[in-house]
Amino acid sequence: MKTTLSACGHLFWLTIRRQLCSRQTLACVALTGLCALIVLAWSRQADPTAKKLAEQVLVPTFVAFLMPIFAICYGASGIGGEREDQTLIYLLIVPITRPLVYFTKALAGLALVAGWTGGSLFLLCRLAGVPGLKLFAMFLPAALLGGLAYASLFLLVGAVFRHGTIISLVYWFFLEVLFGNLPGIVKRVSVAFYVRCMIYDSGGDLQLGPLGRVAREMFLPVSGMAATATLSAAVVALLALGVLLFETREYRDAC
Amino acid sequence: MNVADYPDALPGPLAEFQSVTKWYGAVIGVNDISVTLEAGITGLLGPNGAGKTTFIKLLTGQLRPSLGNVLVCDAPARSAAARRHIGYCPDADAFYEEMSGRQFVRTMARLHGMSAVESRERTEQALAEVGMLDRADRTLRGCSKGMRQRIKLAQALVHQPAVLVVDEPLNGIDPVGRRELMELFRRCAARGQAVLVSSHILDEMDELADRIVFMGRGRVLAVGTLPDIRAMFAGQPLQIRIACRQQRELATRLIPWDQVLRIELSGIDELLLQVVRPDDFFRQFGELIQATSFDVSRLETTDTTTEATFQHVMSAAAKF
Repeated sequence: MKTTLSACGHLFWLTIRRQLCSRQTLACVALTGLCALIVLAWSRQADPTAKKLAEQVLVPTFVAFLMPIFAICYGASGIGGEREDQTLIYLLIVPITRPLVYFTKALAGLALVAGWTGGSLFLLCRLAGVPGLKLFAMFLPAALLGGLAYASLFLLVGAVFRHGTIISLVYWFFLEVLFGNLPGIVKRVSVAFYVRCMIYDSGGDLQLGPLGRVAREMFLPVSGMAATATLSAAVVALLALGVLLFETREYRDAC
Repeated sequence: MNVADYPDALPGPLAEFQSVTKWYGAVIGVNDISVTLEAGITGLLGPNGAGKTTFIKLLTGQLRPSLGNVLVCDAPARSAAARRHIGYCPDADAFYEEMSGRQFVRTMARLHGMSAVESRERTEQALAEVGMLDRADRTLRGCSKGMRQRIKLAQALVHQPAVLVVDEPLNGIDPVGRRELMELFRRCAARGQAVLVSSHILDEMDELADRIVFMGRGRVLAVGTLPDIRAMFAGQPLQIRIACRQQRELATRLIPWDQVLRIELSGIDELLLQVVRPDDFFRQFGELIQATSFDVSRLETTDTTTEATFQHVMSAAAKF
């Protein structure tokens, strides 16, 4: 038991270290820098308000773009990266049970996604000044939960499919971006919908919501509580499904 | 687990296939295999598609048998308990490339649950065993294929497993290195480890393996030492080369023998024979030499090598 815990602890830090020292981190730094420039440019306007910052910058750039990118970078590459590099075999021959391997890698990936999501949100809010600091607490729970849901999903995709990163990108673009903006209840299959529901619910004072009357009427939101429960359940369910599939799956591409 | 106190104390096989069958959908990978691995070096041979890879993946717990059981030190091969007893050196040339050889081996030691101090000690031991102690600080992406192969072997040895599985271990290793690694495998076998070596280079097996597992079409065709397997095919013709100054006279005496199927004169003093029932032939030939004045300077069989035996096994298997 002690040796298993020690091995899992090492796997956790190994995953964190390797993920942080990867090309994904460079991509995250570059994209966060780009968003920071957008926020700086936005903050130079004459009348910057929290509502405008949320609707014009944070929802379209951070929630719809940066947050899923972090999840793809550190989620899909958790198991998927090991498969692509053909190093998964080294995790399959050590005396850690497969469920624990998956769970440990998931924990490391989720920690990184949470760190990047929280950190970059704080940076963007800070750069935006007073309106930003007002929004930070409002956006943080939704952003963290959304990031974790995305990361759990993309980790599962990486464990199941050979080219997990590409499939995750395709999924994000077609299901999240397209379905997430369709009218009606189809959008309820997307993570982005629940994230926005949480943000709009907590930002009630600022009257946050979709831009435009038609978009508002067709958004059909769920309550913040329901969105929180749905995303939390999704994280747990996706992790459990990932553990189950990783335990039973035979990786014939592992050498 | 430590080979110093474990494998010798364990009676019976270190790994066992019990009527194992593995299906990939409609395709059969291995078919009703029953084999045991004991202390010593076992060579795993077979043509492409014979089922060697499936065999190794079942043994290392990467695949689950469709039927039967694979046990390593009495634990199911897919369990974490079994993986404590098994070291695997894969064929693929893949590593955590950003690490040095030493860091990589130490990482694998830590993933086997060792403490920092223990992993450091075991890493140095494993690196010393594969002859990489003074070169292990180089980044893996800057290492030659031979060095990478040795590092891969070191990670398989670092937890001192009872069963060592090595897939094509001598690929990319120079002749001196080959000799060193063969010595290493012999040392492992001598201290009670079961070493399974899969290789396409049959000459390596002549020198290396204590016993051979021949595979073909998903089945184990033959298991045993080379002479044992060769004896199973006593009815198959055997090639014999005889060096004798009285080449033609000797040929004339041998032509009428029932056991001799073919005689070929080679050079000025050599005869190449193809014989059946070699035991009878050698007895009768000995009597002939004693009774006559033939000056025989050399007598050797040319197809008791692994390669020739492999050909016999495969041709016999093709008849089924």
